[in-house]
Amino acid sequence: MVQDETLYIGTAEGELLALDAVSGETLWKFVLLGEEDERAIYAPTAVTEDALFVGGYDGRLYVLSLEGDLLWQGSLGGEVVGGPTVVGDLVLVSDSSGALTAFDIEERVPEWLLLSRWIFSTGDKVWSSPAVAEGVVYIGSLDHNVYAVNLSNGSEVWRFPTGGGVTASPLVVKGRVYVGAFDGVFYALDAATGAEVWRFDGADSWYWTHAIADNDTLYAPSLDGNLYALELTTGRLKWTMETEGPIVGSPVIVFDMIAVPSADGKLWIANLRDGTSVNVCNVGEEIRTTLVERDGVVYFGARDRSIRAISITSAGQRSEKWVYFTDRDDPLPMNRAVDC
Amino acid sequence: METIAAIWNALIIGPMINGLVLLYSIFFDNFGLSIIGFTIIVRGVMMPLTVKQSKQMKSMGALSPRLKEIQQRYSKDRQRASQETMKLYKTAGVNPLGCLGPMFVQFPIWIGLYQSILRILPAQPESLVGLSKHLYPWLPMVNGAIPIDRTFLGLDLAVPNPVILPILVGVSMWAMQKMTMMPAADSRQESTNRMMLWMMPLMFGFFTTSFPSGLAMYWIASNVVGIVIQGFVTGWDPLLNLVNLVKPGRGQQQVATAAAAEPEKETPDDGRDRDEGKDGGRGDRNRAKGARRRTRRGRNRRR
Repeated sequence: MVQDETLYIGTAEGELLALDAVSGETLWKFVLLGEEDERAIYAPTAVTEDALFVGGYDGRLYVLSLEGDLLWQGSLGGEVVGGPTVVGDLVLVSDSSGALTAFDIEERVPEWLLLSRWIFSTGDKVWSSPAVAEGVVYIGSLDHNVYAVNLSNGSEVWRFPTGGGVTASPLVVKGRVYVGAFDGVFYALDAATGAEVWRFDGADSWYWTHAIADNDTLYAPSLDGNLYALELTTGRLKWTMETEGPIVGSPVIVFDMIAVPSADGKLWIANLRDGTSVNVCNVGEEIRTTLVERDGVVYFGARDRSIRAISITSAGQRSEKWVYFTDRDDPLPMNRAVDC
Repeated sequence: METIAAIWNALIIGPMINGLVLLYSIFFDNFGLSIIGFTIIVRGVMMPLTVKQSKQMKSMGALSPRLKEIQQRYSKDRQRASQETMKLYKTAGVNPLGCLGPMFVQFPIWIGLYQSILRILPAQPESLVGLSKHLYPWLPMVNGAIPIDRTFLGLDLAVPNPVILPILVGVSMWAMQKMTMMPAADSRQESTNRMMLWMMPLMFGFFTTSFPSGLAMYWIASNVVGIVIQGFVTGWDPLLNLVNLVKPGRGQQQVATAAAAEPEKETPDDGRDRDEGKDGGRGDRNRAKGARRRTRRGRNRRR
């Protein structure tokens, strides 16, 4: 998440970093309270005007000030993998106990206090981030279901059974919910009723992360290494872009291109129109994080404990802006001899 | 090295993971039953080898008195004793190393199963992503079965159980050792047997404290199946004698009878031999008959 030129990003070592988005310099660092091997941050951070909300694999929800001070923390029923979502005075967070909890932000002065308003339980771990639209929360569960839950009271509106676990966050666009599952099927559901509108079953592996949409096209990344461009209304396959490894993190749209992270160690940049490759940035280390984009700069983490900023021009040219290693304090200088 | 890893994954890990997950979906989404079913299939595939091993042991048992005779006759010439022993094995069509076959086949299965369990029941989300590349896309059932429920009878199959399972592994392995123990030809071999009878269960019991419970489940199920196979091929006497369901010595009649076909001399250390018990199997026709007579008398006494 980038806000006011600050990049907030969590690491597998359980650190939440605030980096200067322009230079890559460390502004502050907050280490989660759990044991060293149990405090990874998988979830994206939710940012409001005065606080950050972070879910940790140590099973805690943290509220931090924008300066990195701990304001509140509370234990949940299980490890957090999907990110918290803030809607008005509610914070929604899912965890590995299968629960989706809605916290009321009761007081902010002098101390923060979060009290649960309702808890919605599913049959297995919930690793997807909640998506909210029109007063309804949409969530996927490893119990193979996609749920629609009433935002105000936590009651179930509908559930849709897929053929596999669901870790991807649902995408809600124009009254439809789009989500892929472990059965290799991508589903389009009616947001009001949960009825299936169309399905695409062309993938050879699971959908792990969420899809993105642009105008009339949906871009669905799969662990089979392909990015599928589907017609939003019908699910018809428009084109497929192949990478050389599983796609674990979600892509982003940059100008009229799409940047796709792959576990093959490359950042693939393709034309939105037909999926033809425009450029490839070879990081050489697995990229498993969802990309974040701001003003033509793409931010992501790689397996070598690095956080990278790659600048992409409207013509598809890319250059490494900075790289920060989480086990060092300073970013490496730019213009290094790397293939990216 | 990467090529070896790729071959290992393609030939062992891939089929094992897909097999276990497929069994999981067949056995009502129960991974414990999946492992037990997998064990039965593995033991079924290895059945010809196991039966061959059991028959070899049975033959070895029949040769025991003659081996003793050789040991005694050439007690001062070890080389000759060794030559005569090999000659006897050859004549009888017995290969003493053949008994080790199933054990060697089991090693890659143990290693593969250990790796497969950890991949199927990952501790971290990124490990679950890694599982996806092992699942066959043409087998939709396996992809739909993920994630796997890791509990069975209150046990977490992905982590070690420090108390119950080590005991069960140890006890079942001890019983298995008891059933498959090679007949001793001399006191040295007897002490080796006795050491193996306790060493293996203790060793595997100790291993169990640090290996996933799922692997321990495999060892237990494998031992139980092995005991059953051995029981049907060579008889249940080693175990039945333990619980005193039959009179001690009855189990050795078979050996004694086989031995009775050969002219033998009485040996001084017979009484200490596990396979001959107190009464029978001295490798002597008369003593063997005597053993049978005493057994009958024992029966009469009970009446």
